Amino acid sequence: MPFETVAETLLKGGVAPRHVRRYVRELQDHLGDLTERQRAAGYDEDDAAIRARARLGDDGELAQAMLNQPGLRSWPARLPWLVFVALPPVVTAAAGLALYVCVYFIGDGAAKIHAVLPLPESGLIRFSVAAMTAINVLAVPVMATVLVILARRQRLKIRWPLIGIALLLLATPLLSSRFGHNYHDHKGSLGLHYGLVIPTRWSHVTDHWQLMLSHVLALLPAAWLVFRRKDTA
Amino acid sequence: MANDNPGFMAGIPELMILRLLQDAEMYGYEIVQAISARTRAVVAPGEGVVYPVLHALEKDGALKSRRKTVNGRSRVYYTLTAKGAKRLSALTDHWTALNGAVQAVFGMAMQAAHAV
Repeated sequence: MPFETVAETLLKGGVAPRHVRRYVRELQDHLGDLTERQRAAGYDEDDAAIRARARLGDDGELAQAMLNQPGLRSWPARLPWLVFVALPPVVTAAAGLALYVCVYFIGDGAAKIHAVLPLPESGLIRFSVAAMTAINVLAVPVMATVLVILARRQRLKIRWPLIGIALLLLATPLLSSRFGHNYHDHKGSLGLHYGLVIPTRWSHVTDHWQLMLSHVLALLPAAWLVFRRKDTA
Repeated sequence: MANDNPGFMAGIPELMILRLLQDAEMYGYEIVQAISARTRAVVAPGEGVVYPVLHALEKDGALKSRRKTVNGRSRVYYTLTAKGAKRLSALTDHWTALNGAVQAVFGMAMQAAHAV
């Protein structure tokens, strides 16, 4: 890829990936224009390419010019502790809870929805239960994957996403609910629990299978990151 | 910029870019060529280094960009915003004052040389 060295230097230097992509694209376009101009001036293909590249600036100069602009640095590079450590548990809990509450009201209010819309009550409840389980199982793995992608895109040290994932595992939010019953006037309920479950008995695994599965899935991107680092080292 | 004293050139590329974009929407290559032509190559940018200045100005809200395809080639065109116009005005005032001060020093030096 043209300007790959420049792009790598910039990513490692903390420049936001979108600025790096656009910079490389603009440099390619600019180089194309310069080469065309050199050809029009009578130089053959090879000479035109060499002269155009020289006019554009060497890799070090091009990279340094971008690194001299502190405003172009990404948030993960500027404040890794915020992006990888402080925010993920809060964002995961908030987003998971918001989704969970929406889905809960579909299940809890299935009878009322059925009265208004031609949707089967049992189908709504099954959907709600399945969606709530999916949120419990996938919320943390999705966030772990996002952290790994952010770190890879920015060529950050792997300690940041690993710390973030470890913290997520320790503070995995597990949401629980019980639907109300329209005919017996029972109110529904919602619960939120935090904590790492270390299984010492098989019953722990079966009782907390959602949490266990969530932990295993969240560790997959972390393992990929460590494996890939060893692979490229 | 083709200059041996980068510190002395600080702020000049930004001023020139803002001034050029006040007149017309342009893409990077056009901007570099325009600077080179208007300054008779006294200020000849190391061509690729104009883009970081453009990105930074856009990040600050002084410019906005859009991708446009012209003659089959897609390019990023930059235009001046209202914030950019204010910044240009402030930079122009600053530069004019600085230029006046330098001229005054040169004037005094010339008078002293005549007196001798």
